[in-house]
Amino acid sequence: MGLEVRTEQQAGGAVIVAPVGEFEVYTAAQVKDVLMQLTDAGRPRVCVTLADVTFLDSKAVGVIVEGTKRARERGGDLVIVCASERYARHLRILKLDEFLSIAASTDEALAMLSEAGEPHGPNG
Amino acid sequence: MAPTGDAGPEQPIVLRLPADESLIHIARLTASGVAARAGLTIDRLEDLKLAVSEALIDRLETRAGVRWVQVAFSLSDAALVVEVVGDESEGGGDPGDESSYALALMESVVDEVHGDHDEEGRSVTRLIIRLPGTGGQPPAGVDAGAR
Repeated sequence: MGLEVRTEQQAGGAVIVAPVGEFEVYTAAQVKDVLMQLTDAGRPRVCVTLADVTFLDSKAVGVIVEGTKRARERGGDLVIVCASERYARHLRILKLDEFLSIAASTDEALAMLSEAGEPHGPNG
Repeated sequence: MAPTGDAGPEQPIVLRLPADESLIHIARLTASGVAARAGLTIDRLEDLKLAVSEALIDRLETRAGVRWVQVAFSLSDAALVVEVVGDESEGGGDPGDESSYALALMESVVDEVHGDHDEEGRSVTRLIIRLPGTGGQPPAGVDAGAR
């Protein structure tokens, strides 16, 4: 049990966030903290890959939704890499598949983020 | 594997945990063992783990005054029934948006979700997974009350 959160800065300004392990009620705050730090530091273009997530619950989904809202408020976006049909199904059940930006691969996510506009401050 | 033997119906497996989110993974580990014993597929095992987690999250986050939570797994030839109960004695907490996520996920991954009260008046969340190749009746003595 446990979660490690890896981050990788990309040349275009996007950041890949990779939780590794169980992304759930007790560990979700670790990801939330990383996402908040990135947006507060003016880096609202974020790719969160679920490739190495072994368990995902509703609290983790809540962190993703909150992170997405925050990134968009600052002129960026949060794109989830969701290769797992199980997690994709959960997002569909929660009717979040249209609200969230979802990619099948990190490359696709970074391409989506590169098309996003320039980041701006919380007040626009 | 369905329970067999001369000892009659299998006794429930009961896990009682302090009301601490960091311990929910222990309930998932137990759920994995029970799912394997019930012969569930990997997908159904993962469904059970998620449903148990969500039931516990709902219990810990939306009820006030919870000191412990209990998860009881009852296995019959036809169904696996999980009952989640806590000792909340005060009014409800603030469910928040994520509570609806927990409920929606729970309902989507098991065959039935019911809310009920036990003989001591505590609210019980009951999850039912029908086992393959059966009529899907829950174990004797389990009343699938209305949610």
